[in-house]
Amino acid sequence: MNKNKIKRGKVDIAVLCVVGTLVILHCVLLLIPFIWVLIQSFNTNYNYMLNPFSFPKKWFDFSNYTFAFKALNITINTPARGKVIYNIYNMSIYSFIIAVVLTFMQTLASSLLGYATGKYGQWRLSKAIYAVNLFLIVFPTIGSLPSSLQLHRAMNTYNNLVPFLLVGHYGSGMHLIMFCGAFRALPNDYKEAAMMDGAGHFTVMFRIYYPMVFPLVASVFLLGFIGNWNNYMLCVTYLPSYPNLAYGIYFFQSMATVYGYSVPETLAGFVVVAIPTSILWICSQKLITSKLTVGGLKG
Amino acid sequence: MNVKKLTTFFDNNKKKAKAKEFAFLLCIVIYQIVNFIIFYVAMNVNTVALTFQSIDKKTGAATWVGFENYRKVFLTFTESGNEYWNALKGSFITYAVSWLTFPVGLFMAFYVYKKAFGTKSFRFIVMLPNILSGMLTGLMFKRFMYALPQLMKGFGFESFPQLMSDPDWTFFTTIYYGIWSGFAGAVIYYGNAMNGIGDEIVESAQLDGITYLQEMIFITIPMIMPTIATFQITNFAGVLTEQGPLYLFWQYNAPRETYRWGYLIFQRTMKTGQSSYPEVATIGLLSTLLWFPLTMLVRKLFDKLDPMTD
Repeated sequence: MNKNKIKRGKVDIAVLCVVGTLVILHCVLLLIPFIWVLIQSFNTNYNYMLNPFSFPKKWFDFSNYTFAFKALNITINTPARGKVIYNIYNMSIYSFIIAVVLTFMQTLASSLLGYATGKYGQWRLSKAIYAVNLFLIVFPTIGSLPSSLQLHRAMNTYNNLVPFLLVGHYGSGMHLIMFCGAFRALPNDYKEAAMMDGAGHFTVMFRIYYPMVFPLVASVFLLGFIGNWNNYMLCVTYLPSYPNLAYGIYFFQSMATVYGYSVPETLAGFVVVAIPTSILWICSQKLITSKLTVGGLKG
Repeated sequence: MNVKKLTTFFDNNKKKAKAKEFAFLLCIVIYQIVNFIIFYVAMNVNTVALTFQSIDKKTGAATWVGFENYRKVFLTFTESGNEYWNALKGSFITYAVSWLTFPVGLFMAFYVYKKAFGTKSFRFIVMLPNILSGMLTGLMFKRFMYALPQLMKGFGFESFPQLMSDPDWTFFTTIYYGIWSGFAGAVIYYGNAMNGIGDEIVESAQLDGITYLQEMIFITIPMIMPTIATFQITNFAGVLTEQGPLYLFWQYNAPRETYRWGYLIFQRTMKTGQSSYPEVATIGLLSTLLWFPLTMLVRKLFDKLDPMTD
C-alpha cells in the first residue's frame, strides 16, 4: 500500500495522534517498573533505604547479581525426602524439563488432532473431535481443582515429575483450531501422489505435511515453551517438590525479609531469572508473533 | 465372471484402504481420547460425586451426606457480607472493565496494523509481561507499587496511599494490573487478523475517501469479527475461573475486597485442604451450571453480530 498516493485528512491525523498518545503512554507506564527494577538491582541497600528511586552511585556493580545467583535457593519440605534445598541449578533443570516435555506433549497432541480433523475430516470420529473441542473451549469448568488433585494422587502422578508431564494432554483448545485450519489449507494432491508411490499414512503425515506447517509448529512450540518455563502455578498445585525458576523466585522474594536479603538483591534475583526467556523471545519474536492468528469458534 | 472378480477385488482393496486409514486415524488420536476420558470426563464425574460427600479433615475418609453441601452453600450465600458475593462482585467488575478496555485494545491493534510510528517497538514492549513470566511481572509490579508512595512524595503528594495494602485501593490496584499487563493479546491476535484483510478492499475504500475511523468500523471490525468473537466468548467463559494477580501479590492471604471467584476456589482448595474439597466442588458445579447457558447465549449473540453468517 503506497501511503504517498492517498492524502490523509485532519480526522485521520487526529485519530492517529490520539491512539499514538495512548500507545506511548501505555509503553511508558509498562516500562517504568521494569526500568526501575533494573536500575535498583545495581543500587546498594543503603541508597535504596534512603530513597527507593535513587540512582546507583556505582553503575554495573554486579555484586547484587553474584549474591542473588548464590542465594537463589529455596527449602521445601517433601513428603519422601524431608527438607530439601533447591539451588538455581536444580530449579533451572526442572524448568527446562517441564518446559520441554510439557510443551512437546501439548504441541504433539494438538497438532496430531489438528491433522486428524484437517486431513481426515470426512470421518465421523474427526467431526466428533472437532465438535467436542469447540464445546470445551466455551464450556467453563469451574471448581474442578479438588477433583483433579484427587485424580492425580490416585494415579500417583501428583508430585511425580515425569509421569505428571506425560499425562493429561487431550490436545483441545485454540491450537487444535489453528492446526486444523493449517492442515486443511494444504492440498490433498501431495497425499495422493505420495500414496500412489507407496507411501503410508505416517510417511505422508511426518515427511510431507508436517514440514509444510513447520513454522506454525515451531511458533506454537516456542510460545508454549516460554509459557511452561514461566508456569509457576503448575509447581504450586501439582509439583511442589519440583520447583522451577518461576516458583523458586516467588519463594526467594517472600523469604527475603526472613533471611535478611535487601530489596536491591531481591530485584537482582528477578533480573537473573528473567534472562533466559528474554533471550529466547528476542531470537524468536518475529516467528511467534507472525503465526498467531485465531478465528472461528463456529468451525 | 471376470468382471465380477475384478469388482470384488477392487471393493476388497477399497475396504482394506479404508480400514488402514481408520486404523491410522485411531492411532494418532487414541492417546488424546484416553486422556480426555480420564482427565476430563472422569474428573468431572468425580467433581459431581464430591458434591454429595464430606471428607474428614484428619482421616481423609469420605462419607455420603446427600445434599448437605448444597444446603450449606445456599445458606452461606444468604449471610450478609459473605465471601461468595464479594468474590462474584470482584469477577463481574473485572469482566466489565475488560469491556471498557476492549476498544482501546482494538485501536492499538489498528495502530500497529497501519504500521504507524513506533509500532515495532510497541509490539515488543507490550509483550514484555508475557515474556518475563506472570510471576516476575507481578513481583516487579508489586515491589514498584510498595515504593511508589516515596516517589509521589517527591512530587508533592504527601499522603499518597499505599496501593498494595490500603483497603480502599487494593481492588483498584489489581484491576489496574490486569489492564497494565493485558494488552498484548489484543495487539498481537487482532493485529494479525487485521493483516489478513485483503489490501485491495482497503485500497478501493481509500480511493473512495474513507477515513481511518470509517475503515475501522465498516471494514476492519466486520472482517476480523470471528477473531473478536473467539476472544470475547472465551473471555466470558473464563469470568468465574479467572483469579487475577491475587496469588502473586498475597499468596493465600489476599484482602477480601480483592477476591475473585476463581481465586476463592483456588484458595479454599489449596489452603484448607481435602476437607474443603466437597464445598469447593459444590460451588464450582453450581457456578458451571449457571455460567454455561450464559456463555452459549453470548456465543449466539456473536453469531448474530458476525456478518459472515448473512
